[in-house]
Amino acid sequence: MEERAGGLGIQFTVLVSFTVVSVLFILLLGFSLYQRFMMRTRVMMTESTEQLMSQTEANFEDYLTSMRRVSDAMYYDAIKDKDLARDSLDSEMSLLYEANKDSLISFAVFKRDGSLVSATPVSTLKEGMDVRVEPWFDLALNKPENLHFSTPHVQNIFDASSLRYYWVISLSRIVELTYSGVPVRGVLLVDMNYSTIEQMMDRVNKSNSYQYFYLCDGSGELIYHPRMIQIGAGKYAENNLQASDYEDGVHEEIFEGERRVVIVKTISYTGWKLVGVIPMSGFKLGSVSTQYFTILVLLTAILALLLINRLVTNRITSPILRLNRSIQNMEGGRVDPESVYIGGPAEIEHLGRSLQGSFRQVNTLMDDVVREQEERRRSELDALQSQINPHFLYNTLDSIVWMIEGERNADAVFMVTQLASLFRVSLSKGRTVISIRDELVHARNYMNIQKVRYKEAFEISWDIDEEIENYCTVKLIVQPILENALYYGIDALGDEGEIIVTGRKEGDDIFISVSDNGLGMPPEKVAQLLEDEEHEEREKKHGSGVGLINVHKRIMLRFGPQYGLKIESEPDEGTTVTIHLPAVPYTEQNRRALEHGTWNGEVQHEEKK
Amino acid sequence: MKRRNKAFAALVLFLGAMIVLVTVLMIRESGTTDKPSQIHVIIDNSSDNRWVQFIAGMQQAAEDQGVNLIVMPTGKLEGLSEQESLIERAISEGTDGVIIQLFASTDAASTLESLSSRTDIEIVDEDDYEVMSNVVGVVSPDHNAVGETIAGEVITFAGKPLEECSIGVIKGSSALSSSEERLTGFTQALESAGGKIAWIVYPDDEEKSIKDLLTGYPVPDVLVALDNAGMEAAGEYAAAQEKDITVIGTGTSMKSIYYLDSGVAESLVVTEDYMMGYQSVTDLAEYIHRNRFLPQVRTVLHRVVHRDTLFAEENQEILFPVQR
Repeated sequence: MEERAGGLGIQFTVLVSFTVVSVLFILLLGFSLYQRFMMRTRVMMTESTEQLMSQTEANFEDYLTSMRRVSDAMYYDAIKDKDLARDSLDSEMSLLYEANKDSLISFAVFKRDGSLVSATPVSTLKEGMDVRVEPWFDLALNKPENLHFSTPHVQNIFDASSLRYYWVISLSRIVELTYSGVPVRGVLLVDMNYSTIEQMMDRVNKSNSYQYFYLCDGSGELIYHPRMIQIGAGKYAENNLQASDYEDGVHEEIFEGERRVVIVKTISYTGWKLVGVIPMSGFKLGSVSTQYFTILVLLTAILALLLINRLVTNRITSPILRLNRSIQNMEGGRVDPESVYIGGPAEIEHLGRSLQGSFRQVNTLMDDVVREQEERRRSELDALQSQINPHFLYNTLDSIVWMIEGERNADAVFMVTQLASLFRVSLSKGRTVISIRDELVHARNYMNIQKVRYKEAFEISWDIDEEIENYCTVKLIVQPILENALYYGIDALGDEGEIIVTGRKEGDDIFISVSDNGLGMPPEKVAQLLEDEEHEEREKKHGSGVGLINVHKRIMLRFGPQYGLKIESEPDEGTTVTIHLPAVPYTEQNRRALEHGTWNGEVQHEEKK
Repeated sequence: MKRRNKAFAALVLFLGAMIVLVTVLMIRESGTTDKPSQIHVIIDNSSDNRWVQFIAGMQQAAEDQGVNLIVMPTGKLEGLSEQESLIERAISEGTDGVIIQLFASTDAASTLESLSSRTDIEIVDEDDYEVMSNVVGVVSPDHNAVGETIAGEVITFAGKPLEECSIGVIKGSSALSSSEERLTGFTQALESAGGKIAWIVYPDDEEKSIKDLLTGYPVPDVLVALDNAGMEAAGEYAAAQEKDITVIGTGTSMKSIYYLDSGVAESLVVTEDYMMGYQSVTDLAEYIHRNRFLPQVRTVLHRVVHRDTLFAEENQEILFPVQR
């Protein structure tokens, strides 16, 4: 389809519009679904994390309660019943240790001065060890109302000749020791195996890859973190100090540029905080292959949309394009209304029919215009032809009057006869196209009259091939040339003037020449004769008033621009004017065609009428 | 119109090509996730106590990076050729990268050059920069600085003027350039302070233990150990002597720590082996996964621990990372 510069085709516009709208819709839909998916995922993950943490919290509660019970059992079932001045705690302590050794590292009882009363399984303090400086000892003595859980540390008070150093959480409490009936204060230490807590936390951490859990005390000091060592080495950071201030529940925070959801649960009695961390990125489409899949779906959807849109666009725009193609060739010329596309949807069909009707009207109007123009041309021709006569008629009639007065009645009769014949041909029943025979008759009538007027002062000879007499010509074209030959050619020569009229057919052309032996003309004047409008005006002042340009135009108007007059002249030698006509046989059909301007240039050979 | 048809066809072809490309990438991605990278570790005497923290660090990093870690079981390695054959074995097992404690040798560079085209190699515990062009990274303590730090501790705890102090040194394995560097650092620092080494034990005799070798030397005032095995032997030796010997050295095993805890040793210079293990696996895994393209040289820190700071909070995580 040819499109105007700067314009966009309807198919392109519709396709782009459809595609843009579809893609935007898909993106909007995708974004909405993604947001909903994210929210749903977030709710589900948060709920599942809370459930997991509730379970872990319950496990911790059980474990820590069991540890407190162990401590209670040791205190109330063993220490309180013993007078340590005479009894030993070793057997009860060993029994309790054996019963709980999976969770315990050691038991120990100290006097207030830091001296060891009893311990199991290792009973020897390190050389020079003063337990009074240990935080768990200090806390137990200064806050006697509570049991105290320490943060994890390597137990370092006992001799480690077995080369074993254990991470423990120390559970300490103040106890009342009895020596010979006298109560004294002491401290009971239960070293809980930290690996039990670590295993519990490891289990929950390994259950999911996108979130993690850690444990800190009420002041934010880490008890467990899956990256404890990296944090200690400064290779990783955790927001544990902030988390310790959080209330139980779900919180959102931004830590080191990362948004994340933090779920906090406080473990009773200890004040420890179990913290679950879900980075917001965990809610997104996780793996790379999932992201690839998403891109793949998006690309496929866009491709499918493009193809479907193309198909739909073609169906919608095809009738419009066909309609457009059917009229595009009509833009510069005549339109055939029947070739206008009628079809497609009702609106397009209606448009086609409207265009078809419009083209019909246009054609009618164009025909009218052509007809009017033709009539104008004919009027112009008629006007040109009617330019003949007045002076000539006046002069001729004056000559006739003069003959009658001179009693030259025979000559007067001849003149009147010739004049009547001349006018008969001139009228020709209003026709503009006549046979060459009639035209030559008219020319002879004219020359006969002029010979009388010029008192036989010139000679004229006719050399006409009879063959040409039955061909068509525009009327009154020879007489003006003869008139010119008389006035401008031989008028000044006295009685030596000579005019020769010849007529012949060459192929499909007819040539009628008028030659005189008059004054002739220079070439530049010859060139002006058929072009110069002023020259024509000057000609009209003489003779019949019908100039060469007039004749030349009439021939061209009727037969075409390749026909007309040809003038050859030499100063003092004479002039030859040749009429060039097509050899159109003089038939009624050809005559009508020529008169109505519908002659198509082809020579119609029809039987002569 | 023809131009627009061509543009439309080009767009469709482009989208088609993108779909094919993304499909291929997705298949490749799902293929790679099924098979995690494998990293083999070749260290001298892999069951030795000194590697416990190092291996713990590597295991943590392997978990973080999602790689399979295989510590190849080794005894006392004899030299570079044995290490080369172990690397060949790792390659034949389909390894993606090898972490190696490289033995010192003049052939080390040429050996690594031929192997590095077949697998990525990371060096640990040795800082042999001559082989850098053939490996993807080096993670090591600054052994010269470790030697200097030990010398500083000797100067502090000698208990008498250095000139009058007899100092015995247990050097590390001669197969390792690190031993030589530590000795150099120690000797230079000691001599600059006016001290002098009385004797040096070279534990290269396979027939005799360090303890046996020590019996051949006079009892020193200060016994210096330049590696973990030497520290354990020095502690055992000093504990058995009637004379009060100041033991100073480097080590990370529980035995070495125990000698400090029990007062047999005066000072212990501890290299952060956990971080060395962690960083070496992290660096190699990142290189294998093409998250990094340039070789990386890292120096792990070392710290001085005394009996009173042994259980300080900042030292507990470094000294007891596994026993927790």
